[in-house]
Amino acid sequence: MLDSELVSDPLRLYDVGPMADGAAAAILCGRKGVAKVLGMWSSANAVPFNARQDYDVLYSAREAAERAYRMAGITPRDVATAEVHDSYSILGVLAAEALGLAPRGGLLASLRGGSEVRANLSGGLKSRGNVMGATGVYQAVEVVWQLVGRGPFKRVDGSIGVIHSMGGVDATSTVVVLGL
Amino acid sequence: MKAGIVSWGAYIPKYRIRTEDIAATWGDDPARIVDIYLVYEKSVEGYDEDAVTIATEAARRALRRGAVDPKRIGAVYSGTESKPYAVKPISSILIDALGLANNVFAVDMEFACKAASDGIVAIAGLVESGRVEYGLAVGTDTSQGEPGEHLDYSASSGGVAYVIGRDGVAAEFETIYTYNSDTPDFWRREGSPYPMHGEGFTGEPAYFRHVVGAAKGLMERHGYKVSDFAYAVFHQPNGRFPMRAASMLGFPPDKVKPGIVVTHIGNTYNASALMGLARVLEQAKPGDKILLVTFGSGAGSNAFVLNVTDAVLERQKADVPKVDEMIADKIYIDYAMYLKNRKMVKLFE
Amino acid sequence: MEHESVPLYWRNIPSYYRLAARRCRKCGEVYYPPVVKCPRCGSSELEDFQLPHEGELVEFTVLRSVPTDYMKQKPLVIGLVKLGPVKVLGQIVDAAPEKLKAGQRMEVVFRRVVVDGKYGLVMYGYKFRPRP
Repeated sequence: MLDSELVSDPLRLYDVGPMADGAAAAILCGRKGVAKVLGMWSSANAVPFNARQDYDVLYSAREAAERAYRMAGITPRDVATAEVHDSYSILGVLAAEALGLAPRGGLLASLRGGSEVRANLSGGLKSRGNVMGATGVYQAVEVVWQLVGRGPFKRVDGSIGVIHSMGGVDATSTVVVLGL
Repeated sequence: MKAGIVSWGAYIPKYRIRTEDIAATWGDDPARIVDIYLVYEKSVEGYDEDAVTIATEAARRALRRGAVDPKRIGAVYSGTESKPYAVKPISSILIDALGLANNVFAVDMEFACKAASDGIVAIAGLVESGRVEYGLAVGTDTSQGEPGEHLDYSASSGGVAYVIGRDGVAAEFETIYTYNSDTPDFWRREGSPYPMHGEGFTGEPAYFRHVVGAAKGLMERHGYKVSDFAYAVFHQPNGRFPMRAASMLGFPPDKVKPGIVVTHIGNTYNASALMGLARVLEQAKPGDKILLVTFGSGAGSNAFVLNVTDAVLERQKADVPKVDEMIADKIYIDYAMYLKNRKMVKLFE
Repeated sequence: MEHESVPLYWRNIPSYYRLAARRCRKCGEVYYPPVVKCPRCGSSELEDFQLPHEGELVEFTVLRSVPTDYMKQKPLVIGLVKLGPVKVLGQIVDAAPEKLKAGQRMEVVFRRVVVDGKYGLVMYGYKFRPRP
C-alpha cells in the first residue's frame, strides 16, 4: 500500500475505497427475526469543512453513536463488531474512535500495541469496495452475519454489532445498534 | 487642478524563460539574439493567468497603494491586445473583481500597445471635465509571438493600472500630445494566433517616427528642453529601441535607464512603457518632471509630461510590491512549460 | 466532474471574485462561503463582510488524482488559509509544494478556475499563493 501512487498527499491509491457495484437487502418486520434493531440515530455536522476547529474528530458520528448507544442501553464495551464508513483509510480510524472503540487519537497506537479492534471485518469500504447508496444496508447484513457466524464470517464473541454510515466528510452520520 | 496619477499598481507574473532557452529550442545563437534585442529573459503567465487576472492584480494594487475607495471609481478602461474573449470585455469583469460601483464607464480599448495610454488620456478628460471623480486605466497583455520567430524572444506578460483623479495626485499630467498615422508595421487578423510584421516597417517608419514625432511635437509646441526632465520613459519592444529614441531626442542614457524594464521581463505590450513609468514613480522625487512616450503599432504614440508632487512619497511607502521586487521574484521554466502556460500546445480541451 | 452552470457561477461572483463573506449582526460570527441564516444563533440578519487579502496557511495537501476540469493542472495544491476570522479552502499556486509550510503568509490572487472548453465561459475566482 505504501508503494501505491499518491492520490492526495499523504493518502495513496490503496487508502481510497474503490467504487464498486453491489446491492444488499434486509427485511424489517415487527415479528421476531434474526436480529433486533436496538437503537439508531442520525446526526449532522452543520459546520462546513473549512470552518471546523478540529479535523481529527467526526462529530456527526460521535453524536449519532452516543444517542444510538443510549437508546440501546449499551456502552462501547458491549460492541462485538462494527462496520464503519471508511471511504478513505483515515476515515475508518476516525469513525472507530467516534464510536468509542478507541480513545480519540488512540486507535492506531492501540493496534500497534497489539490490541484487537473489531471493526470492518468485511474489509470495509476500502477493501470490500464502496457500494455507495447500498453501503448502509450492506453493513447491516454483514454485521448480522458476523453476529450469527454466517460465512464468510466467523461468529464474533458477543451479541451486539454496530454500523456507521456517513455522507460527506463528517457531514451526516447514521449509527445503528443491532443485537441478537 | 489638472488630472494626474493618484496611484499605480503593477503586476508581473512569476514565471520567466531565459532567452538562451528559447534560442536553444530554435537553433539560434543566444549571444546574437541578446545582442539584437537586449532581452535576457521574459515574464510568462501561469497556466491559470490571462489578461483579465493580470489586470485585476495590477488594479487591486493600484487601489491599495492610494487607499482609493473602489466605489469612487467612475471609469475603468482596459487597453489590451490579448483579450481572452473576442467579444466580452475585460473591463466589466474588473468591475466585479474590484468591487466597483455599477455607475462606472467601462470599455476595452485596442490600439496595439498604445491603447492603455489612450485609456489614460480619455480618463484624464473625464476627470478634468468633472464627469468622474477617479478613473482606472489598465494596461494588460499576454502578448502573442509565433514560436521560433522574433517575437518569441520578447513578447511577454504583465499589467499595470493607474488611478487617475484630481485629489491626491502624485504625478500631474502637465501636457499630453499625440502622433498617429496609418503605418503597416504590425498586425494580427481576426482568428490568426500570431501577429505579422510588415517588412522593414518596425523601426524607422513605425516606432521611431511616432515616438520621436510625439516627443518632439510635444516639446516644440510647449517649449520643453531635455534638461527639464529628470526621466524619460519610452515604449520598449526591446532594449535597444528606447535607448536609440532617447539619443535621437538628445536624452542622456541615465535619464532613460530607470524606466527600462524590458531587459528582464520582455515586452509586456500595453504595460510596457507604463511599467517603466511605474518603476520611475517608485524612485522619483517631488518636483521631478517625467516625459512618457507610449507607442502602438498601426501606428501611433502618446506623449505625456508628468509633474511629480509631494504625494509620491506617501505612495512609495505603501505596502504594495515594487516593480523591482517583482522583477527579482521569479521562477524559471523551460520551453515546454512555457508552451503549456501560454496555451501554445494544442489540447482537446 | 461537471463544473457549475453559468447562472450558479454568476450568482457566486461576489464571493468567488473578491471573497465577500457574511457577518451575523446578532452574534458577530463570520461565514465564508456566505450563508443566508446564521447557523450559530439562527438570525437572518447578516451583513456583507470583506475578508482581508492576506492570511496564514493552516494546512495543505497535494492532489495528484484530480477532477477532469483540472487534468492539465496536476498536481493541484489545496489548502486552508486563515483570512481574518475565517478559514478559507482554496487552490494554492505559484509555489512548489515542498516549500510550503503551515503558518506562512499567503496572499489572495485572482485566477482562472474553470475554462469551459474552447468556446464556453472562462470562470474566474480566488486562489492563494505565498506572499513574496
